[in-house]
Amino acid sequence: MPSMYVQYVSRPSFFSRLDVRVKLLFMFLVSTLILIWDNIFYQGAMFAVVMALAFSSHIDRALIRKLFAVMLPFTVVMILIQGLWSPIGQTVLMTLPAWVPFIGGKLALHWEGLVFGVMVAFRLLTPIFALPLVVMTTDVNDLVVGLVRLRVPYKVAFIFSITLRFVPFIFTEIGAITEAQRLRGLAIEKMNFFRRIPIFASMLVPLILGSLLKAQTLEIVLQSKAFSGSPQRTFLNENGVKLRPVDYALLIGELIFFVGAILTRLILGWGGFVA
Amino acid sequence: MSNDIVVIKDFSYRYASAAEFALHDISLTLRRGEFLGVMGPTGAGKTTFCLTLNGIVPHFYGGDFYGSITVAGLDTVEHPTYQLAQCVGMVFQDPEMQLTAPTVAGEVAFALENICLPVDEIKRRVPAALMAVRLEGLEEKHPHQLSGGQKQRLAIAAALALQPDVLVLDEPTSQLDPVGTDEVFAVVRELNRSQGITIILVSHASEEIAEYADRVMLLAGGKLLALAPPTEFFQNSELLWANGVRPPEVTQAFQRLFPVPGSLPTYPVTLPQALAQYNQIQPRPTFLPVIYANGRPPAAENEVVLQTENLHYTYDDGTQALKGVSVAIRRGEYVAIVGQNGGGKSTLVRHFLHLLTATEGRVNVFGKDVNTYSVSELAQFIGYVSQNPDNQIFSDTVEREVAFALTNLRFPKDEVQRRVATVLQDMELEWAAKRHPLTLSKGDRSRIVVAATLAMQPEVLIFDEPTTGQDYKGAQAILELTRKLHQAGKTIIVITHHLYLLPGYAERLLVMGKGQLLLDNSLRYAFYETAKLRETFLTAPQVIRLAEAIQPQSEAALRPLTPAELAAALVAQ
Repeated sequence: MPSMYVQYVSRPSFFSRLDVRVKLLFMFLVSTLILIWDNIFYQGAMFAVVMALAFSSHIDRALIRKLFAVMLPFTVVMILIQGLWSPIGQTVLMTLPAWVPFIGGKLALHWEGLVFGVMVAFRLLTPIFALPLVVMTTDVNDLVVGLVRLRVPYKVAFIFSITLRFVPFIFTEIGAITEAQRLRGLAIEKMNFFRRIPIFASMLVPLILGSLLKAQTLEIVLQSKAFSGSPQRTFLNENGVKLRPVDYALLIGELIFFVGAILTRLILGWGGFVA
Repeated sequence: MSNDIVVIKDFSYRYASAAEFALHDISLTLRRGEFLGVMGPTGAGKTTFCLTLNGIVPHFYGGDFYGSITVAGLDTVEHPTYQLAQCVGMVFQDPEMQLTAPTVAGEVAFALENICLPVDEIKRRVPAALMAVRLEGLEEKHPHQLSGGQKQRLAIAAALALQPDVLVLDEPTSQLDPVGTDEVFAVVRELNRSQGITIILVSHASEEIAEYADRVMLLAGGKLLALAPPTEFFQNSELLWANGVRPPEVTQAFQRLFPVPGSLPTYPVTLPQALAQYNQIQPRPTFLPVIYANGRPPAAENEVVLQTENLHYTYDDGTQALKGVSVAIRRGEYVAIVGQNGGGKSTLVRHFLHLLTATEGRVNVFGKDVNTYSVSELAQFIGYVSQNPDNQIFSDTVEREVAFALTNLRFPKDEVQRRVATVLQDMELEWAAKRHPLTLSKGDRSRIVVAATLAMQPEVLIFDEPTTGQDYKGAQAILELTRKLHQAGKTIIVITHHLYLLPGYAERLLVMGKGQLLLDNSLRYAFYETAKLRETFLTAPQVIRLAEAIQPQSEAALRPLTPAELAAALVAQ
């Protein structure tokens, strides 16, 4: 049976014990600064911090590996495209050999373009790894209470939490569908990326229909539990979302860093493009 | 305060954009504290009936609503669901879908938070509700860590915390194994007896309904066809069979034993009643020797097709799912595998398809090490049909779905066409060839999956819980299909929780529990190893318990498996 829960980390860590608002601000800060900075070193450092936190917070290594495996083809293709076509490319590294169809002999890889490609990759990867870092180290209920405290409407916070619950369901469904296809003689392990595309597409119908059906059942279940989406409700675990001195200190630290990074970028030009 | 807790008057309902009425002209009054069993085939309107009681119908679905329904004095049309939810607790079929919080305590508290109860009151009610379903001590557990029966009990606790007048349970046990089913029935009965909560329970489990319900209602085609106490309700077998409802096994046995109407004042509907009546019959009927065709099954000499030797399997999280299982299955056998969830049934069969790789020990298929094959290669010899058809359908017409595997395996076009045509004909699905699979009924979708598997002409077919969530007719139809395939020479393996369905189909029974093979015998002998079955919390079908009670066990004892066999063996003088 598919599970409806995000399996959050089994062992607590420094990061997982923080107040949900500290984590949400961290996620916001990381995802914004990665866009504001154009400097590959600044961005690389930010990405390294996110990854270090992910490892030290005991996020499932298999999940990290899986995310990397899914993102890798996109990242490589993106870096190559930027290297070949980006208008900022000046220094020629190599001209494509003539045997490459269509573009061989005509296009060249440029150093600046490649650097820009890596930058775009960081912009894509950093938020993608920051999200599970926050979500998987936080109790879903605390997340809802935290969002409501941040003046997010309860209904929106609730939909957000339900979406998170759907993530593992969708992974389980994909697993079940892939298995069913292998059991019908589909040797997916022997196929290249492009031959897999129509296979993934054929998965969408059962996946979307299954999700819609689950969503409807879920709504009936919730209404039957006297849920109306009204913000007027009691929170049993309100005390679980509590700012300790360390949380205050980090919140202030995050804000100072965030404002500082923006000001230095605007006034002093720190974090500009280098290649 | 009135003693009538649910009053339904001239009620009819039609879903928005539906041509037919889902429920038609229903009138019914329930007394406070009553236990109502609801029975009927799939599509009878049972779920719609449940959803009317807390106003999901019509508030959520819209549609045409005629007549009136009052629950605890509240008119369901005038009051919104969140208000009705405080008088009517709901428990649904799927244990996974109805748990929405990350902790057991949070799950019970969720509805209370919704109705803005003060925190102190919530903290008082949560332990009380958990106590009532015997889940105390598990407050901080993740609901995902609970067993199926515990999950459903948690869903009951969550409903109970609202202190409802009525508890509605829509097939709460149909996804559960036998232990889970017992747990849920025990809790529901306790709530009904000691707390006086009115119960409305939908189920296909005739034996349990006969034992627990005060009244039983038969729904079919949206109409209320019968409403009576169980002793009366189950007398009218003709009506029940005609509507896909199976009377309890003891009732069936006595009806065959005394077929002349009036020869018994009433037929018994529970095991104690059956024993009491048996003891009153003068002269006492005795077992007549009946020769069953129960020698060694004809397949006993055939070659071994699937085999494990000292198979161990440990999941990534450290769960030891199999602990040294050795079993051999021969060509042409029909084997049933039963046991609790988590006992290792699916884990075992998944090794034959190389979906799992043994942690220790050997797995052979057709005499060769399974590791030399890939999943897609094995799929051509061993068809594996899992429970949910909707995860196994990916094409836009039935025809393409059936051809899916053949195309993957690069069969020539004319061969694909020929095989698809044959399979569709065999499965009586020709009429649906051009239809979209998802426009067909669930029963037909299951048959499409079987058809698509059969197109590869596998020698072995494994059905993983094909009867779960099916009504009697649905389950019977699937088993009839397995029998046809077996007669055509296929080797069949069926995993199921429904022991009473197996006689007449399976020849051999494997009982799995805690990762071990606990029992491996012909069905007729295995069913009478009642002590062994109880060890793994399986209850033998009612007819076997009756036969055992009538005749002390011995080597020479007769072993009837069905009500018909019992009646034939017991002849009134």
